[in-house]
Amino acid sequence: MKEKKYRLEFWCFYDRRGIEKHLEKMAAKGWMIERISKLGWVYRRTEPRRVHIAVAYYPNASEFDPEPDEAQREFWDYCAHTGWELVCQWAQMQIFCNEREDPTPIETDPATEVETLHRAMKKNFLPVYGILLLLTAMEGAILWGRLWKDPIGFLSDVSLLTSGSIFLLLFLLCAVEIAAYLIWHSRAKKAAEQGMYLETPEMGILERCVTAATAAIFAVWIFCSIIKGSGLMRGVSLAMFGYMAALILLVNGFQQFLKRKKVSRETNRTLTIAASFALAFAMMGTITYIFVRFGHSLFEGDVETYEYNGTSFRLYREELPLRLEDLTEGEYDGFIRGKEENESFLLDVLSASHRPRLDAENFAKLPDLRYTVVRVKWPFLYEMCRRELIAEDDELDDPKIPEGFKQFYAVTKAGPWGAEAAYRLTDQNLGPLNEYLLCYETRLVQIRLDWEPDEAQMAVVGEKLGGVSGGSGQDGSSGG
Amino acid sequence: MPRAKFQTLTEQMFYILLCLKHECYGMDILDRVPAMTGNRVNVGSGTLYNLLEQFLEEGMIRETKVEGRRRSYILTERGQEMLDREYERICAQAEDYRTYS
Repeated sequence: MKEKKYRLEFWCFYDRRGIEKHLEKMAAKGWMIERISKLGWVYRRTEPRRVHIAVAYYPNASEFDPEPDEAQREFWDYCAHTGWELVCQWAQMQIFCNEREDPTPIETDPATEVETLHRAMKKNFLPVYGILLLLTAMEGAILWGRLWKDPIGFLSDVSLLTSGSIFLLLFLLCAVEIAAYLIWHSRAKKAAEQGMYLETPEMGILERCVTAATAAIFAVWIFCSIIKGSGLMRGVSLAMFGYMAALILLVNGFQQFLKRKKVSRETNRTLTIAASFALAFAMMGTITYIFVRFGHSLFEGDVETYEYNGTSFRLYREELPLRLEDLTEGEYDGFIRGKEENESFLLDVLSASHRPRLDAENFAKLPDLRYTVVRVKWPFLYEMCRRELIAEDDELDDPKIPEGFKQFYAVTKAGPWGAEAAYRLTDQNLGPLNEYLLCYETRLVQIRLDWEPDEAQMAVVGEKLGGVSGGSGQDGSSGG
Repeated sequence: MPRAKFQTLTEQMFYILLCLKHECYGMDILDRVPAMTGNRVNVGSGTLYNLLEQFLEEGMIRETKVEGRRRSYILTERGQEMLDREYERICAQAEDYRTYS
């Protein structure tokens, strides 16, 4: 029979009545709170009993204190005098237990209670949530700004979607919690003047919902990046996961180590903040170096390389849905087949190229094929993606490029491609180029060839990339 | 309109200050107030601790002795003035009651 129980609890720091009722229920079930840590609330098995629990706040305490000072111990003595024995503390929050029948509460004056609680909140909850609000607003603005600039890149990248959603959730949580507290505090002060204590708002549900949503987002991220992702993506995701966990554990461990060494509150706080920045930079720097230096060989296995002008290039041989052999006569075994895929529950993006090696003879005369296929999983995103692909190459509104030298997409015949609409990139000076944007029902294909394709080749592109083969649906197999 | 701090005293503040007319350990006030009022008024330990801190800050009481973690206090002149003012307010209230009831 286990003697300890760890639980994740979702209580607002100032929801003293809610916490008291919860801990009394747990004690009645035979679980007495023992300590509160960053990783959860720890309960100790006891005889089930009815006890009174009181949550009080001691504003001068800090989680960086090596041990309670004399003044804090004196506060505990006062409480013990009326039967309230300290059970545990969490920064300024002090939890007491009393087995007397009808004990005098620790707080008997609502005005003093609200004022003391507010002083504790100004030391802990408000600055922490305020800083978190600012950070999530800044990070969120940077991340969601990418949705504006590069919607396809953002919506197809699970890591960006995950971090963007989590920052948004945290921002909303902080904003709602701070607003709820400030409203409560203002009303509680007025109620206290009438001698009444205003109950705190029930915010635990919000915290539970945000935690559940964060866990769900993380589960999607783990599934997409670690289980379904490519080798490199899996490596990056695992490294980031390990980085976050290690950073939390190391910083927390360092703070506890300094506490055990009886280092003063100010020194502990300064060293812990400095260590968290130093560790974050050092670990991120190490991870970046490892991935830049060894990432490809670690996660992509042995890929053949070749030398050109003293630089080593990787000779990728990826499976592609459309290859040069599908369009032209010839053998292209020595060519590079590269691809990059991004998948999310909103969009799939495949960028591929089939091109000659840089050291190939007659390099300039050899065919070169590059394309991007965007598979839109939700119809409402289609138009936004189409506009982005057009805007990427459209220079008509760019004042930096002189008139007469701009490029733009002109409507061209869609039928030969089997598409619903087709655009051809056109240069005001050079005329039509061999770069096309093809719109299918659920796919957008941007393709660049270095020759003028004939109608048979266009049909092959439609079949292989647009998914319009032999009357089958557009989401049919497009494997090469 | 918010009440200015200590312009008027709550019942608990009044009895804490009254206890401190004579030098007294802070903790003893927890027992004295119920004894003085026949258990009609009880002061919570947290409330007492915080009020003593506030009274000290406002110069209404001063510390007289420290024995280990036990500290004793006594009322200052300012504290006495506030206690007197509160007494007069309560008397005026009682007088009004007698006049109009």
